[in-house]
Amino acid sequence: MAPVDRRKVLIGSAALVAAGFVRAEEPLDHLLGEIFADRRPRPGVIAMKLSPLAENGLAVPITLSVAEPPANVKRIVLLAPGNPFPRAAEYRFGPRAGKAEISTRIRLARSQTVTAVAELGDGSLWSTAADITITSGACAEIYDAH
Amino acid sequence: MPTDARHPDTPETPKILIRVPVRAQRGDVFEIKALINHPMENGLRYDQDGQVIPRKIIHRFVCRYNGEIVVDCDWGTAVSANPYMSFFAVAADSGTFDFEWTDDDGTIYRHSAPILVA
Repeated sequence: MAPVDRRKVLIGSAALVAAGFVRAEEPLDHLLGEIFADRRPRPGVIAMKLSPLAENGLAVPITLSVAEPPANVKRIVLLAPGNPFPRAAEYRFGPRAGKAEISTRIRLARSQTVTAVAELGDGSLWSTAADITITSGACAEIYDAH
Repeated sequence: MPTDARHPDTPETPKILIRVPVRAQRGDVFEIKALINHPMENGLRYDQDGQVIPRKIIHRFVCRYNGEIVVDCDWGTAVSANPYMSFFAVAADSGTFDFEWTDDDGTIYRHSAPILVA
């Protein structure tokens, strides 16, 4: 893979934003408000495994795990604020779950901070986040409308 | 299921790949992997004639073990094409894992796998 010229990437992104091709990232706080009203998560309890770099955003492996028995996890909400539809997925565990952990593959429209929130049985909210850089034209491939 | 002319790539019966252990000891925690062939069309793309390709997403995935839920998921457009998921179940009794994917058009794709618990 060719080394990424940071300056070119930055200038390129700025130009795209300036030209209105890329929507501004939806603020995470607004998203959290839509889902959890006035409750906000604290960092901890949930962990995310996500590569810091992906060549394209079409199928990025991600693992989410909560350090709690699955019976005590109400749900995990996965958010990709840089996507056109930021609410990526929600996972709930039933009585036959062995661990509060899932792995999947997600689409990311561009470089962004992916966030996951775990809601526990007692209603407490916990979150984790990871930055990922998408190095090539995933946007064009997924959202070739632009 | 009626063939959808706007989604010619979607097979009527998508290919499904499941990995569940054949046998387990009671109390064992084990991994299950599930993959289904599906375009997960996000409704943002245009075809060659400039027409929007309508959204077609598997928006729900549920796995049950002898009728009881293992995982129950809501998926959005951010889930990749040919959605894959791995998760964990705990062995209770011999029986069946039932997998259910619900498409936007209402179609439910099903698959099941047996397990023998000693």
